[in-house]
Amino acid sequence: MFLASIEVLDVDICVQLADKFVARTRASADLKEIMPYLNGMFRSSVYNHGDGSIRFTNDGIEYTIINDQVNIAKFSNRTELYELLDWLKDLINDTYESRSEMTPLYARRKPVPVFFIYNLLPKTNCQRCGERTCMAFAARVNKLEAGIDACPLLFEPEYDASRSKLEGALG
Amino acid sequence: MTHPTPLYLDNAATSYPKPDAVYASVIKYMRENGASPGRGNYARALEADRLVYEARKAIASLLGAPRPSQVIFTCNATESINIALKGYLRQGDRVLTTGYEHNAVARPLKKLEDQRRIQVDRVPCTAEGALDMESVKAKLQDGVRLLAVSHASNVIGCVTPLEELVAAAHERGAAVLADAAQTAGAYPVDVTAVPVDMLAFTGHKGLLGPTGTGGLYLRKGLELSTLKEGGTGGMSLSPFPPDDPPDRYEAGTMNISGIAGLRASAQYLLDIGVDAVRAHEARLSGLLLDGLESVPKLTCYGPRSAENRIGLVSFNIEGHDPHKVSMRLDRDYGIMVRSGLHCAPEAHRLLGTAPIGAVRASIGYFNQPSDIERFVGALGEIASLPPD
Ligand SMILES: Cc1ncc(COP(=O)(O)O)c(C=O)c1O
Ligand code: SF4
Repeated sequence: MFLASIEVLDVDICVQLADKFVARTRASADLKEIMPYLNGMFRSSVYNHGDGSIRFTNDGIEYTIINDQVNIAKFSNRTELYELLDWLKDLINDTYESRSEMTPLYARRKPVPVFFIYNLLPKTNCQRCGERTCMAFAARVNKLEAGIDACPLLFEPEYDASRSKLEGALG
Repeated sequence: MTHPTPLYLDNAATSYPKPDAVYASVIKYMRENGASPGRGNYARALEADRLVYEARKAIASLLGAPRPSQVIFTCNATESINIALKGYLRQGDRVLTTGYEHNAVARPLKKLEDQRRIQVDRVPCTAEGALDMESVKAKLQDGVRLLAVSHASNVIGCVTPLEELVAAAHERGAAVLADAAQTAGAYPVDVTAVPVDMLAFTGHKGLLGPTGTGGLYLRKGLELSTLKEGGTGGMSLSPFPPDDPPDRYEAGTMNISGIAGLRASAQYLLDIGVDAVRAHEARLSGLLLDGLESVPKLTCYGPRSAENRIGLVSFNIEGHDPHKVSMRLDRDYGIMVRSGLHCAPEAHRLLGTAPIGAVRASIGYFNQPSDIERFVGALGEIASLPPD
């Protein structure tokens, strides 16, 4: 097995969100080799080949990996942390197993400009995405903190064209 | 008189013996770790966290639960059922249940009848525990919010047709709480295949763990009001319990020594497989039912076939007080069985054995066919004694 375990080194409260936690953990293997594959997998990923680091968000949880160090942020309790570590370990091992069929992505993704995103949104400010305005939502999508699937209007037929443009731009 | 080798046949009360790994794990945790999980961040506390997580994960996979965080640890099935009923039911709710529930279900429901004016209705069933499904469906029409049933009766031994009940309840908008105290670990339970909303289990019976362990499986997205509030290790600034399971329901330092043992027993069961345990116990139950049939003046209660029952049989010998039968078995034969009402008076009413009850023999994974022979032989001798 490529990655046998991930050990938790520290758990602390999250400075951004009072009811969430962050953890520092250490993987039993250096994860550098797998990063270009993870980079291709997560829309939100920010990969730095030189540093051997990658950051991505999945289901509201933030992952930062530097060599064998894995930092996880915004989880709710320690049980969830271990569930996430199990998930990550399986993902890394599965990726490693099937890496010959995958294309590694070495490039750093460029953020899509806020205004470009905003222009393609329905601009109703209906707040169904949980943001106060379409502009606020666009800013979150730009920072990769939200995905366009949070805007239900975009999935109505009249926005099909805008949606596919957004999907194209966001990768 | 020489003392006979003890033979324990009260596994429905609590299982004995436990797999060796259970004793070893409890001691290992207590001697070598000893830290409280979910709180500190020194290495040992984090190790204790991992231990509790591994226990949760093993239990989740035994129950077919998708995620470990859906398993809440409690100190036994009774606590789990109390959390479920008192956390779910609201003023004036209607509840449907069976006529063979353990007091762990019946008494909290009684209390809620008085306190929250809930209305409790019971499904008619036969003395063999067979439920009238037509009646279940008819009674569910009346805006029932919860169906609370044991997965198997600890007196009659019958297995409840959970799958049919869950389908009928969900079709009519009622949630289902299953009391799996008698089944978890000894009889297949799968909350994904049979999507109950809540499932209470105890750690010390079929799951082969220490007493003082148990838990509640909660369907994803189902949030209950809490039975107890207190420290959960995290989010301490908030005056309220956290929203997320399992911490929401686990205030206070948990029974981690017990959980260390439960982790080992759950792993033991995962290794051998619950199906293998079930097959072994069903075989012994078959031998037991056949053997009891050969004892004169003995009446067995519950389903005739070992297929439809868990590894226990309740019975009486005509002219013999059940209490005295169990005393004699212990004193003269070294055999431990339980007599009386087994905390389930409703089941005994159904059997017509209230108020004196019956004798109940219950099998465990470590029993062998020779144990059954020895037990049946002893009963034959007792039955031939003059009546009390
Ligand atoms: C059907 C049933 N429900 C609930 C319980 C309660 O279990 P515990 O005593 O572990 O809380 C038992 C056993 O005592 C039982 O047999
Ligand atoms: S849901 Fe879509 S349309 Fe509504 S405010 Fe959010 S981004 Fe704008």
